[in-house]
This record gives sequence, structure tokens and C-alpha cells, in this order.
Amino acid sequence: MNAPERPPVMNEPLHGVLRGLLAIAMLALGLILAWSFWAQVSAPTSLTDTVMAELPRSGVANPVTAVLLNFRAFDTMLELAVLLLVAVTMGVLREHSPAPATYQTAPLPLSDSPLLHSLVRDLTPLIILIGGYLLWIGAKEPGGAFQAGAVLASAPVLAHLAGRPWPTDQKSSWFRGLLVLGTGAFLISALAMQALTGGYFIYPPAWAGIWILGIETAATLSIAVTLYVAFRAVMPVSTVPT
Amino acid sequence: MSELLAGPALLPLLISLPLLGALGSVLLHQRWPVLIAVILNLVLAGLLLSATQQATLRYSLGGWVAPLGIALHADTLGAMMVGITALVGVFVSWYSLDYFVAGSTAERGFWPLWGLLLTALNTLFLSGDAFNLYVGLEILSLSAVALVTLASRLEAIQAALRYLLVSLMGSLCYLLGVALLYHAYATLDLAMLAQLSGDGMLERAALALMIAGLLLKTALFPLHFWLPQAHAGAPAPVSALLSALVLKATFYLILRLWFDTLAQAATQLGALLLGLLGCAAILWGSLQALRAPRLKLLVAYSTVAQIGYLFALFPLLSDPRVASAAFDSALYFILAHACAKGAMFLAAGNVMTAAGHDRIADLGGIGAISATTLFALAIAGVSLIGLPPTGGFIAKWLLLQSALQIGAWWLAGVVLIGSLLAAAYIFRVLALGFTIFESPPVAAVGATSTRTPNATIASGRQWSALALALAALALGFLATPVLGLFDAGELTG
Repeated sequence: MNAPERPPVMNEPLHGVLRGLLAIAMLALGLILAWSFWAQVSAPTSLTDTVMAELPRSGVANPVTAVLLNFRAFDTMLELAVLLLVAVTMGVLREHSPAPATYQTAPLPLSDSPLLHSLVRDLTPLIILIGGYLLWIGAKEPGGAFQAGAVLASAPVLAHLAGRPWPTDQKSSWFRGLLVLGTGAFLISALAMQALTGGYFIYPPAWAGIWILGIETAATLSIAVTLYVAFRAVMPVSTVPT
Repeated sequence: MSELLAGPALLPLLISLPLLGALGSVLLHQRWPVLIAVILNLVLAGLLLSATQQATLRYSLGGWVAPLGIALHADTLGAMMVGITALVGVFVSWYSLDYFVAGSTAERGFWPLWGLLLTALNTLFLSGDAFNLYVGLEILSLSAVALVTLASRLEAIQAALRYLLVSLMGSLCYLLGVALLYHAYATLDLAMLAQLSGDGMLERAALALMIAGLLLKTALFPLHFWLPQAHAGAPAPVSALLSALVLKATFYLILRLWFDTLAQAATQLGALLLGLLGCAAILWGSLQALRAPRLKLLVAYSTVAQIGYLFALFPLLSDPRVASAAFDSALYFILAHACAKGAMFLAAGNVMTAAGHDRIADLGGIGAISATTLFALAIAGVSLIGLPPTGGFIAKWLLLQSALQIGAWWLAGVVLIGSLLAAAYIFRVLALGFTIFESPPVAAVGATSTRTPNATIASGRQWSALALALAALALGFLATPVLGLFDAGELTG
């Protein structure tokens, strides 16, 4: 436990008996939890009614978006900060250890297939269109920044896999600007609201829809870039042009 | 503007400011945005402390009142936690200015991550919403893990990975508890839950899950297995932040849940169990510190022991006769340990830079390398042992007094043995300062090399460590005014 130089290796498989005991203990724990869950006498309740009652004042028609971007916008802002944190961490880890040796010996095969390249070229506008649609529809139907960002991120990923990565550089300021855009838009508008309406995150009701769309657009871009950073962090270095 | 800085509007500002600093630091690749945020954070924390003296603050974010929206909340305990975080944060930032090589990857990573860690700490101290606390816990754990990886050595990365897995496990346990509570009461607001919840099976299960998750993160024996490697392997300022502040944030949440939000579901038996685990932590952590081969490992095991004192208080905190004094003691343990352990890790970082290693057996003559650093180690050590006139003494005095008042002799005995052991491991370190070149560094380095590293420790690194140690000393002299700021009645009811 307190080996001075090397932390202990914990990869050895557990003994069969121990595994069985562990399974029984876990099962018992699960049963106790399930019992306490069902033994609750009061009728199950939820906040759905409250959300639906306040929905008209939220600026959007989709209850999920209303919760994420208005009622509990503070949570969502901190969750975007988590994404930023992940991007920063991956940048640091990546610079510390350029790439594991196993990756360097097996770079992605660069494809010269014109078919693949034209496919990626033709798909990219479509991806951007779908991403934009998901972002827009989020105000009324299921959709929104996280879905749109995930779709959008597929464009650079496809280009990367086809051997034509987008010229991105994590050290360039516009790239870092995109990373902080989502959290930044949230934070700046929360503080701006404090100056305008006198309350942190209190949108003026008439403008709530526009504010939310603006924040979601910024968040979409940040999410897409963060996902792409995550993808690149585990990709071989050799396919990235210098 | 004046009402903005005096009333509840302080609460969102205290969380926004460090976040803004972190964003600026990422965007501009500079450290000054976080530095400014850290300094302003100290000012805001002071304003918060004075504001909570009049009344408990509550702020509904977005104008949506609970249960729909999220509420921030600050009483005197929360304000004290924000205050000690701000204070330690300033000194650790001062130290870090000279610790990281300018322009290095570690330096560029440190400042944004530290800004995000501070955001998370303030969120945990001020949030009044069970799910918002979960998000805060996620930022706290991820930024803490990322900060450990800045050391970039293989052992540090391995320790960080284990820390990550343990933290995730803890977060998920906590989240499961939150889900149970939401299922039963359709609210995530802590104040509402405190009123609604009773002592049913569901509350007990939720409390057990949430406490178990937080215990993993607070590293109470025997769940401390991840701590020594992670805290010892991280860069020195990061070790200081993790030991002084990050563990205290999760402990603070345990106090809140146990004595406030789910107080009815908490049992005497549970408190006794936590107390016994705390006693075991004191003994085990101290013994391991006694035989640790490296200085930073010794300091990390000392943290395991010091966390034990916080939990050893639980049987006393649950006893109405001495609860008030026990809460004062708990607060003082938090404050004194934050200052003393922060100082100790910073000083250990100086020793490591000067000597090039921290193997205790080869560290003879560190006093010749830096008297200031040795002085910081000595004062911080005296506070950790619990000798007068330091903050550590006040904390232990209050603990012993309450234990003897209700006849918990066993507890008093463990505390005394723990203090003896602490004295033994602290003097193990201090003795090095007074042995002059008993075992000189390896001959290959050169005969004069023991003195030349003197110049390589920037004075800021020496003075910041000493300043934190002096803060632990000042806590001893200022016990009456500091405890006057804290109202234990908020938690004892």
C-alpha cells in the first residue's frame, strides 16, 4: 500500500470465491436500495407540473430546453465548464506525452481515394445543415446544443479519418476562443442580466427566446470543438500535417 | 453597486469570478486573469463573511424559486469555508508564480485548472441544491485529477488515474442518493429537503449512499488508499491545494448532509462508526507517516491522520451536551489544517527543489539550504502536533474538553496518542534541519552543490510557505475573534 517508488499494480483478477462474495454483497445492496425505493409510502411526485406551468415564461416551448437553458441554466453553464476542463486537460496531457509508441508505429493509412474525398466534401455541408436544424428545433422539439454539437463535430472527424484533417492548432487564439465560447456566452449573459434586469440569469421575458438561441449557438460550437479535440487527442500524430 | 457587494448578490459573483478568470486564462494563455480573480475572491470572501454575520444569505438564480430553480445559500460556516479557501488560495498562487517554469506546458495548464478548481470549491460551499452540488463535485474532481497529472511523471499519472476512478465512483454514489431523494420529494433544494425528509428507510439509504460517496472523496480510512500517491506525486502547490482545500470541501458537504439536510435520518450508531473510523485513521495515518521514506509521502500520510480528527469528532457533534464546542473544534481543525498543511506541502516543495529529491534519509542539512523554509516547516509542524500557541492546539483543546465532558475517555486517549505520534513524525523532519551534512549528497553531484541550490528557490516560494505557517500560528492567538464569527447554532439547531 505504501510502496515508496512504485504504486501497486491492481490489475490481477480477483479470486473466484472473492468475486462470488462481491457479487452477493452487490446484489444485497441492490435489493436494499430497491426495497427502500418501493417502500416509500407517499405517491411518487415530480416537478413536471411546475415546469409545464412556468413554460410560457421561459421563452421556449420545449420543456427540456426550458429546464436546461432557463430554470437550471446555472447547472448547464457549469457542465459546459466541465467540457472546457476536459479540453484543457487533454491539451496538457497531449503535450506532455506526444503519443504512445503503439500509436506512432501504426498511423492511419492515408487514403488517396477520390471517392472518399468527394464523399466527405459533399457530406460536410449536409452535416452543418443538420446541426443547424437540431439547434433551431431545440426551442420546440427534442434537440438543442448538445445534439447539434455532436453532429457538427462529425464533420472534422470524417475529414480527419479521410486523411484530410482541418488545419486546426490548439495554440491558435481563434481555436481557444471557440473552446471558451460556450461557457463564456453563458457567463457573460448571466452577468449582463445582473446589470440589465438586476438578477443573475433573469432574462427579460420578451427576449428570453433570443438570448437562449444565442447562448445555445455558442454552446454548440464549443461542444463541437471540444469533441473534436477529444478525438484528436487519441489519434496518431503522424496524420496531422505540421 | 453597494447593495451588489453586500447582499445575496455576492453569492453568484463568488462563483462567476473564478470562472471568468479561468476562461480568460484559457483564451489569452496568460496567468493574470486567474491571479486577479484569486485576489478579488479574497475581497469578496471578506464581504461575504461580514454579510453573513447579520443574516443567512439566499439567492434564487434566474429568479426561479425552488423547487423549480437553483438557490445559492450562505451561512457563517459556508462563509468561513469560502474565506479560508480564498486565503490559502492567495498564498498558493503567490508560491506558484515562481514554481512553474514560465511558458511550460504545466504552467499553461495550472492557471486555468486552478481557476476552475476555485470555481468548484466556491460552488460547493455556496450551493443549496443537491444536483448542483453534484455538478460542482464533478468540476472539483476533474480539475483536481488534471492538476495531479501536471507532474507528468508516470507514477503521478497512475495515481491521477486511480484518483479519477475513485472520484467517479464517489460521485455516482452521491448521485444515486440524490435520485432517491428526488423520487420521494420532487425537490433538489437542500432547505426544502431538510423540512420534508424524515427518518424513513429511503432517507437512510440516500444518506448512506451520499455519505459513502463523499467519504471516498474525503479519504477517510480505509477509503484513503488513493490519497498518499496522488497527494505526494502532484506538484507541490497542487498537493497543498488538494490537502488543504479539496478534502475540506467534501467534508463540509458531509457536515451539511448529516447535521442539516438529512439530520433526522442520521443515527447515533452511524456517528459512532464514523468516529471509530476517524480514530483508526489517526493511528494508521500517523504510523504510516512515521515510516514514510519520502518527505512528501510523510506529509500526505499526515493528511490521512488529520482527516481522522475531523471524523473522530462525529460522536461529540451528535451529542447535544457538547455539540456547540465540538462544532467549534471541527471548524478549527479545518482552518488550522488548511493553513498548516498548505504551508507544509509548499515547504516540502522547496526542499525538493533544493535537494533534487525528497528521500528523508538523504536530506541532512536542509537548514543550511533555506532557513525560511525550515522555519515554515517547524511552525506548521507545531500546529499539526497541536502544541500551543497554534490553531491546531485550539482545535485539539476543544476536542479533548468536549470528549472529557461526556466521559469519552477512549476518544481522548486516541487523540493523545495521535499527538505523540504526530510529534514523532514531525521531529523526524525537523531533526534533518539540525544535522549538518551528516549524509552529504551523492559525491557525483560535486562537493559544493549542497549550497549552490540556495539561489534556485525564489524568495516568493519561501515567504509564501512561511506566511501560511504564520497564519496557522495566528489562528492560535485569534481564537476568540475567529470563533466569534462562527455560529454553531446553525447546525446544532
